[in-house]
Amino acid sequence: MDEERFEEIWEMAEAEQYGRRLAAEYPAWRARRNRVAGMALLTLITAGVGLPLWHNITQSNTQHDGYTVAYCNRADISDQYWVNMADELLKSV
Amino acid sequence: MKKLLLIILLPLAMLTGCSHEKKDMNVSALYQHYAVRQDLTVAQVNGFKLNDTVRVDVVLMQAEDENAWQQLKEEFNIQGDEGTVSWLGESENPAIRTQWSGVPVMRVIASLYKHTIGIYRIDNEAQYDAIVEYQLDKTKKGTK
Repeated sequence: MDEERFEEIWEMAEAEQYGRRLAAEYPAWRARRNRVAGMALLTLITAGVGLPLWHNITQSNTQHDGYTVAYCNRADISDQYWVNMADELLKSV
Repeated sequence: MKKLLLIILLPLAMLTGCSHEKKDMNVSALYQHYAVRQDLTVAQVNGFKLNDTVRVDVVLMQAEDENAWQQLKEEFNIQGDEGTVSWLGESENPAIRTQWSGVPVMRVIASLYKHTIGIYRIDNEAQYDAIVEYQLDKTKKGTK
C-alpha cells in the first residue's frame, strides 16, 4: 500500500468515525434544541399575553391621588394640572 | 416560523385592540366631540375624588384664544364677563339646594378669568350632595 492510498483510507476512516459520533450525539442535541426553542416560545407567549393583561389590570386598578384616570388632547399637559383645575373650579364658586 | 409568529402576534394584537377599545369607552362623547378642535385644550378626568366614597367624571375645556372662548360661552350659555359662573351660585349668594330630580345631569362651572369650563357629570344623589359638600368644605378651608 502506498502512502497516498494510506492517507486516503485514513481520512475516510476518520470521516466515518466523525459521522458516527455525530449520529450518536444528534438525538441529545435535537432534544436540547427543542427544549431551548420550547422555552423561548413559552417565554414569548407569556410575555405577549401577560404584559398587555398586566398593563390593563394595573391601569384599571391604579388609584392616583384624587382621580382614577385622565385623558387630554394635548400630551404636554399633566393629568395633575386638570385635577387641580377641576378642584379649583369647584372651590372658586 | 409563520406559525410561531401567528401564535405570538395574534393574542398580542387582540389584547392591544381590546385595551384601545376600553380606553375609548372611558372617554365621553362630550370629550370626543371637543377634543378634535384645535382651538381648545380638552381633558377628561375620570373618578375625580369628592370624598372617600364618591367620585365624579369631569370634562374640562380651555379656550386657546378669545374667539374660541366666545364660541364656548355661546355653546354652553355662559353669561357675564368676569368672575365665576356656576349652578352653585356665588360665595356670597349660594344657590339654594334643590331636591335631586333623579335624572343624571351635567353641571357647568366656568372660570371666565381662565377661559376654562368644567362639566361635572352627576349621575346620582350621592354625587349631587358630595359636590355641594366639597364646594362648601373647600370654601371654608379657603377662608381659614
